Amino acid sequence: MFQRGVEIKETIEDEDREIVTRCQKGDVEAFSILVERHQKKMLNVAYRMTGDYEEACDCVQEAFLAAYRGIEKFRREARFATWLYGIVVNRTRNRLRQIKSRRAHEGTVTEYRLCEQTFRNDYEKMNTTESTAESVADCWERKELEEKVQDCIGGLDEDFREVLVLKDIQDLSYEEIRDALHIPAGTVKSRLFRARLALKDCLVRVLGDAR
Amino acid sequence: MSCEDREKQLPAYLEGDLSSMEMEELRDHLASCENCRKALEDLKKTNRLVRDLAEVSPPPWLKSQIMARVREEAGEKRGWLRKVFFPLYIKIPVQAFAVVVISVFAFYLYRQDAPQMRMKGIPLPSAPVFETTREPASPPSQGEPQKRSVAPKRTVRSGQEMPEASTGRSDEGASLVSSAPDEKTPERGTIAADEVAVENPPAFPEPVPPAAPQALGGEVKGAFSSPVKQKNGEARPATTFPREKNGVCEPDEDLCRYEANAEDVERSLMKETRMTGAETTLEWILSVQDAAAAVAELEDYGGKVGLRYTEAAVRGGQHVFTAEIRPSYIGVFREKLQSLGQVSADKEPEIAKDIQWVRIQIILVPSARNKP
Repeated sequence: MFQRGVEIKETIEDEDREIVTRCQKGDVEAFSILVERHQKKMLNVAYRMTGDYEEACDCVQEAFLAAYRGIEKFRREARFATWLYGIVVNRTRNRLRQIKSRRAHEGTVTEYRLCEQTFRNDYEKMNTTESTAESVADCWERKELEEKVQDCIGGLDEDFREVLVLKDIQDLSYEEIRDALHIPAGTVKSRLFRARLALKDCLVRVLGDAR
Repeated sequence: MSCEDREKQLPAYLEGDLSSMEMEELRDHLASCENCRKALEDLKKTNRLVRDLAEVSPPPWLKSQIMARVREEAGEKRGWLRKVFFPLYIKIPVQAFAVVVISVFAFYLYRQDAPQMRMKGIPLPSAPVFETTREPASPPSQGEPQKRSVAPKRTVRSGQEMPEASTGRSDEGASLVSSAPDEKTPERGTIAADEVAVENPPAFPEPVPPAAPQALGGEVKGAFSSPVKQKNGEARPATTFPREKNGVCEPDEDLCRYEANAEDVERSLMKETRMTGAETTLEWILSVQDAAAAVAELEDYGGKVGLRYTEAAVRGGQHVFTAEIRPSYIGVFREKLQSLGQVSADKEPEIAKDIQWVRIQIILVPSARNKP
C-alpha cells in the first residue's frame, strides 16, 4: 500500500520541478520565480489563519526563507507547493502563539485593504457610476459578512482551522493536506467535518436565521 | 440515532463519504426532520461563504523583500559573524560609530603624543631638529686648558624658524646655524650648528632660569630647563632642551639668536647634530699629548661602553670626538678619559632618570703634561 503511495507521489506532476532543480543547484534568482508563483496562495493561507494582514506577510516571508534554506532537502515526495503549504502552516501556527492578543487591534487596516480590493474588482467589472455606488454599499456589507466569517474561522481550534483553510479556501485535495500537515487522510477528513460543523454553528449564532 | 448524531453526519453526507446504508438512512431522516434539513442548509451556506471569501493580494514589496533576504542568506554562508550584523539598519550605524570612535581616538593620541615626541627628540616631519651651542667668546690659551669652560648648549628644535635664523644672522658675522649638510652623513639629514665658547660663564641657578642663557651673551627667548646638574667644577656640562612652557613646545619661540664677534667666528666649531634620541649633551675637554692616538683609543673603547653614533673630526685644528652614551656608562667612560689625560669634568654629572641617551662631546686639546 505504502509502496503504491510512493509510486503515485513520484509520478505527480509538478510545475515547479525544473525551477526547484535550478534552486537546488544554487541558482538564487530562480527562487524568485517560485516566490512569484506561490506568494499569493501562501499569503491567503497565512491571512485566513491569523486574520492579520501584516502578520500574514511576515509569516510568508519567514516561510519562504525557511523553504530556501531547506530546498536542498526537498525530495519531491509531494509537489513543491504542497511542501510550501506545510511550511507556511507551521510558521503561522508558531506565530499565532505569539500574536494572539494583537490580532483584533490591527484588524481595521486589513479590512480596509480587503474592501478596497473588492471595490476595485467590482468597479472593473461593472464600469458604471450607479453600479459603482451600489457596489461600495455591497462592499461594506460583504466586508462585514467576511469579517464575521473570519472571526468564526479564527475561533476554531488550530487543527481544525488549518484543514478548513487548506481544503475549503485553498481547495487542496485530502492527499495534499495529508502531505502538507503530515497527518493521516482519515484525520484530515474528520477534522474537516468537525471544522465545518463548528463553523456552521458559529455563523448561525453570529448571523442568525436571516442568512 | 438522535438528531444530534444525524447532524454530525451531515458534512460527510455532503461529501458522499458515508456508506450507502448510512446515506439511505440519513436521507430518510432528512425527509421527515425539519431541524436537520435546516442544519443541512446552514452547512451548505457556510461552505459557500467560506469558498467565497475574497482573496487578499500580496503587497508589492513582499517578493522583493523575500528575495533580498534570500540573497543575504545565500551570501551569508561565508561566516557566522555576518549573522550578528545581518540587517543593514544595525550594520550601518555600528560601522559609522566605529569610524567616529577610531577617528576621535586617533586624533586624541596625536594631540597627546606630538609634544612628547618633540621633547624626546623624535624627528617630526614638519619640525627638524637643530642644535646650537655657544662656546666661550675668547679661546683659552694652549697652556691654560683648565680655564676653558664649556657653556651650556642650547638645543632648539624648530620648524619654519630656522631658515630665518640661518640667513638672518649670517650678516652679523656670527657663525650660526648652517643648513649645509655634513658631507660624511648627508643621508641622516644632519644640520650644522654653531658652538661658541664663553669664558668664565656665570653660575647657573638650579634649575636654570630663563635669564641664564642671556647672561652667557646669547640672546635667547624662552625658558630652559636642565636635567643635568653639576654644582662644582670649572666645566659645566650643560643640558639642552627644547624650550617649553607647561610641558608643551612652542615652535614660535624655538629660535635662539646669538650675537658673536669676529673672534667667536674664528673659534666656533661647526657641529653636526644627528637626529637622534639624545636629550642631553655633555662637553668635556680632554688634555692629552697625542690627540689622534687618544681619539683612536676612544673609538676602540667605545664598543665596551655601548657608544653609538661615534664620530671623530678635526675642527679648527682640534680633535673632536662625539658620541652618544647611556647615562649609566658615563662614570666608566669618564674614568677611561682620565686614564688618557686630564678631563675637564672631575665629577660625574647627575643625569635625570628619564634620560635615555646622553650626547657627549670631547674636545681634545694638546697638553704638554703627561698622563697622570
